[in-house]
Amino acid sequence: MQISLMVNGVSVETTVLPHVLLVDMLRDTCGLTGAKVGCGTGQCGTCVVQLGDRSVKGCQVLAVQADGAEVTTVEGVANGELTPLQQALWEEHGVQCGFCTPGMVMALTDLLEHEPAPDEQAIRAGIAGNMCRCTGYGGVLRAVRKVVGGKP
Amino acid sequence: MERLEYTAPSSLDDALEALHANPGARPLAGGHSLILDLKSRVRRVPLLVDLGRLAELRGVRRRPRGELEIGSMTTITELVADPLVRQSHVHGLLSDAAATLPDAQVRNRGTIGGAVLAGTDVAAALIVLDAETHIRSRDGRHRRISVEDLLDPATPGLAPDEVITAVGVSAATASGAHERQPEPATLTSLCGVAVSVTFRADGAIDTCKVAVCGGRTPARRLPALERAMTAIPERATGLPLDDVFESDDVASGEYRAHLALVLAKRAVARARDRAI
Ligand SMILES: Cc1cc2nc3c(=O)[nH]c(=O)nc-3n(C[C@H](O)[C@H](O)[C@H](O)COP(=O)(O)OP(=O)(O)OC[C@H]3O[C@@H](n4cnc5c(N)ncnc54)[C@H](O)[C@@H]3O)c2cc1C
Ligand code: FES
Ligand code: FES
Repeated sequence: MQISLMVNGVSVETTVLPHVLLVDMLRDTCGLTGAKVGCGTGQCGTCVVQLGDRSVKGCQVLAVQADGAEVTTVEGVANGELTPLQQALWEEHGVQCGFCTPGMVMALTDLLEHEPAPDEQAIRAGIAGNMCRCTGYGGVLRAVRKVVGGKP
Repeated sequence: MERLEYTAPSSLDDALEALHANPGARPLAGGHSLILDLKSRVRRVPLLVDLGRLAELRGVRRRPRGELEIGSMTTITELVADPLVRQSHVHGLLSDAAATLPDAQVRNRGTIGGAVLAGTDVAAALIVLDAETHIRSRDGRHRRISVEDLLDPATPGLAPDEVITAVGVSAATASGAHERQPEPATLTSLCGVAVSVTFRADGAIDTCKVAVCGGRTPARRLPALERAMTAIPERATGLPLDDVFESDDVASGEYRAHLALVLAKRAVARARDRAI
């Protein structure tokens, strides 16, 4: 099926079989390997990208469903320099192996866009769908607190 | 995932026609249960009819008698953020139920129509709100059936070529709340309880609707629990709930029944806090 969409501000026209997942198309056709397939069952959050103005699990959306849409991946959030969120993740050691990081960044970017001053409960809820097996989440939480309130 | 065909009609009539003309075709909503089923091959669907491009199925409208009409493709995120819902009495209960979906990304895609058919926490909340599904099939045929009756295993349920277009919720003034006990690994509800309660001036419970979900049992009202809550909730023990829930490899029916009583008391207490 012929589809056309915007990925990180660049127009993409491609042909894709209907059963191909959005995350696979982004990785295999667009070469954007930031979003990863961890579980493939909608639980781990490594595949999170933005579809329109909301974050979604790229492993639970078909590429054909994104026809005509705007998609943003982790490769598209920084504009020349890291966003404050990415910078804080770096400073607060919110990244260890980095496998979960693209999904964390996309989920938290969505949260901060829609709720610029989340309280502790909202921050934690914001990464409820992102599993990290290294940092233990502490660094991630400190980073978000720093962006929101200036202190980790 | 196996190969399949896909169509994304731009009108409801075309979607209904596609479902009718292609045996085995299924509507695709948020995909959070359907795409998962296709990946694990527990279901085979030759044609997916994506409802995602039907703007008429999206959003919340207020009807002349104050009823809220929620388009079936409204996402759970959109539902709880909608101004009409936020201003209404149903917001507390629906927010509680929405929070049972595991994370923001699932709420961003999962739809109210899909949640009705999943028969879990959101469906339980809709049942105590006396919600009604609006159903269409081809040639302009339509019918309405309550969420409770739609999920009742004794009724035929949704036909393969029918689409839920909206869910209607009356302009309730009762106070509602939802409580649940999640299963730690999957975060699905071992048991969920939704209540909708009216209180008398002296604070006593006047009416109380209770719906439960958990395990394979689709959400349903539970009159025994309603009677117990309307009497003196704190004193309710030993209710005849043992046959309500099935046992499976996660929890016994007996344990779920125990949870139902505990959670119903908590939900009523929370509804009371909301009422004052
Ligand atoms: C990891 C994970 C955990 C989850 N845990 C929970 C939980 O604990 N509790 C909970 O309530 N939800 C949970 N969900 C979400 C839930 O399973 C689905 O999001 C939701 O119930 C289904 O809605 P959907 O819009 O995604 O529907 P889809 O998956 O698109 O569709 C589901 C079924 O309904 C049919 N259908 C959908 N809409 C219509 C319509 N308008 N008319 C006719 N037929 C229709 C489809 O054909 C399909 O058969 C979870 C999801 C995931 C990924
Ligand atoms: S790969 Fe999508 S949630 Fe794990
Ligand atoms: S940094 Fe390794 S999984 Fe999160």
